[in-house]
Amino acid sequence: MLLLLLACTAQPDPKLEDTGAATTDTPAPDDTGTDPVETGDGPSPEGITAEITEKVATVVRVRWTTPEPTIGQVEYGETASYSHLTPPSAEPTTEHEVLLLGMPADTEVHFRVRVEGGGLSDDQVIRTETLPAGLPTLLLTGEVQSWVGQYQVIPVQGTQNSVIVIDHLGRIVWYDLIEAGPNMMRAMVTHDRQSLVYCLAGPQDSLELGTIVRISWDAEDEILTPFPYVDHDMTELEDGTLAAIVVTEHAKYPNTADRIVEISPTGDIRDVYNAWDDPWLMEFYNEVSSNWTHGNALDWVPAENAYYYSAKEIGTITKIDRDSGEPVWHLNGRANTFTLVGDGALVDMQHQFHRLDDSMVIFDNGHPDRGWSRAVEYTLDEDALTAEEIWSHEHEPPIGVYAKGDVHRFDDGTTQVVWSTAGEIQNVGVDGTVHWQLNTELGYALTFVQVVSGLYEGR
Amino acid sequence: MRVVSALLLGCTVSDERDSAAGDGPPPVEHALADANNYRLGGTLDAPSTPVRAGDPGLTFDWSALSLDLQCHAVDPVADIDNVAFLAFPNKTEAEIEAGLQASNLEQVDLGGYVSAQPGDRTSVRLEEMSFFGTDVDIELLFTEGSATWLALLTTGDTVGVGARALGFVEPRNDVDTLTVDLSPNCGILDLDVDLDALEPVAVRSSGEATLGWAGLTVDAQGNPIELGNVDRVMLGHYPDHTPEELATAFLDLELLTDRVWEAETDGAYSVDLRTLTREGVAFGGFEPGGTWLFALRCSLCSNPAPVFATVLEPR
Repeated sequence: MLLLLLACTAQPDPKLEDTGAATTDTPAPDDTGTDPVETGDGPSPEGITAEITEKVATVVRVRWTTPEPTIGQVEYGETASYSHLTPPSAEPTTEHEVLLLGMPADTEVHFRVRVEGGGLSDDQVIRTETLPAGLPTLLLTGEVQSWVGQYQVIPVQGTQNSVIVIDHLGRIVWYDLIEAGPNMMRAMVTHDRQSLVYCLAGPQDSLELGTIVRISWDAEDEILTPFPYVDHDMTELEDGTLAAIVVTEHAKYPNTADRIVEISPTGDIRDVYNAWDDPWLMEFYNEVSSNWTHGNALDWVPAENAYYYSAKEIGTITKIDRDSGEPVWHLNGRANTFTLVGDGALVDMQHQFHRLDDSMVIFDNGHPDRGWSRAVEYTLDEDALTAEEIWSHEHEPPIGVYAKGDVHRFDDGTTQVVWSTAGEIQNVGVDGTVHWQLNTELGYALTFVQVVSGLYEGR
Repeated sequence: MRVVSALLLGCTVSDERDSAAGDGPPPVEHALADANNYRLGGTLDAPSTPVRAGDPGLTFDWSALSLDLQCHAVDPVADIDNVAFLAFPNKTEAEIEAGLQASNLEQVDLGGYVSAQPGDRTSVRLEEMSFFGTDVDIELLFTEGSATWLALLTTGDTVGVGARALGFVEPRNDVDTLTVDLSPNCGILDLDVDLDALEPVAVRSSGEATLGWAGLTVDAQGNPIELGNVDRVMLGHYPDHTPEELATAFLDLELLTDRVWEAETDGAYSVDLRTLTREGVAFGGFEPGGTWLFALRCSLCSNPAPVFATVLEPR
């Protein structure tokens, strides 16, 4: 193998090739929300090296030096037009290192280094490597418009558990193969874009093994934080605080219910809400279910400083004031306190949802007796406690999603529907037109999906 | 290995490549083509058991299982690690059998999936099963006319991989049976393997050969090939078998010889045969006689048959 390698390489490192193909000095389209640094007559980047990271075949590590401390960044992309841009280094330095994110596998990546007030390197090329076995094959139909330039973080359960990040072309640009065992419900890129976090619940009979995993983009750094009895879902606040559903017992009752627990970036733990203390939910307590609430989705809405928590056994979404921990209202299911206005129906059993200014889009699994699922949107009048169904989308042919399910409303009014157990994601217009669809092969289900506008800090 | 693969893909094709014809020695580098691949077809005819609909006490039993669907010996305790129960709402039994055989079912075809790990037991009940640890009331979905239901026993707990026995289960309101016997499975899989029509690959008898499969477009069943799923290569020597004889005993390939050299691909799309090993010893070259079979395998694919296999002709 080595002989072959040497025989076919005319340059010291064929993976890092100076093509001289740079076509423009124009600042690249921006992936970070900041302008490219302006070059000048100062020092130029020296000793540029690039390598594919050891554990992620799609991530490129670029290093360079400058003779004096400088701010630097890298433009990169699949052509010398450079569609991506890393953030400028936070502080002037002489030793620079950045990771190029968002590139597909087995693809040439063009890049060049910009030094603020200094030089601009020539175009160079490195090829990302092939994906490992075990990742799902993604079958894409249609063309996405709603989230061009954005990414989706998708936990995958099945033949091989994994977390994947895809671009708008349905290509895997980041991945992590997860060992079987834990029940992985949620993965997300953190607000600061420095890492990803996973919520790994223990098996149902060993929930004390619950863990939060924080992993770096090159997958070299992995921090496991025990989070006993975490289950089903978690969310992240803008300051890095993680909040999760935690299963908890009660001294007077034989079974369990849910709490919402926060862990701050410094490790401080705070109980926010406890279903045992929610008098209205307690009206629907039953002894039959091992967890009589069975929380299955959790979101935080920063504009309201409120949590939204879905309890499967009751079929109800509860809005919770974060500061006081008090329930604000209950929507859907047996504990519903809203009055339905107009035609349509409220939901018996849902998973994830997307709270909008005046409405809420919900993945309605439906009771198993119904046999089919849908996405549905209600306008909510929180003062009058009225809800009106204004939009819904069903799958054709009808399918019943019996676990998970997620929705997301894009700015252009289209809705993403994640048919989790069916391994399918659709982008649906207001009129029900399916603009884009992604399917997995048999053996790969999806859980909750995070839409992220960029992979670097600043977005 | 992955790095080397990427480099090889970027290499200029050598002068020696693909010059199998002629009087000179075979080339060192070989770009495998679809024409080199064997053909795989066949039928699957799984048993079907009508049972009482909607009963969480439905029991899957394999205590009498001694031969698996490939008619290989199986220990019902030691070899069965996972029991899965799958619902296909919009497929008939025949369509599922054909889809499993052709490996072209999609996740969207699946309307329900639950599983359980039996440990040392040889039976599990429906109410013990979950969706990857999440409790789901699957018995509420298990109603008459709801779907075509398939029970699957596997070795290992990788979903859909390592199938040892399977059977359809039909929920009925007019039946009181609550046990599904998954033991009789030998003979339900009838493979049709063709090793005659392929174009053999001439290789140097010294073993100095690098085989690359980046140019393959379809697998042995004619489906678009997913090269990223190939995770293992195998070179087998069958001193006493012709290709025709191997075709008739294709399910026993690994039982017919112990002369097997293997390697993991680590994402590479080519392999130097001299890097394959058998019991820790690297492949040292071809010996005369018998049949040499080179195969690409996918350990996470539901169909255990190689996605590619060809006959090598040492010269």
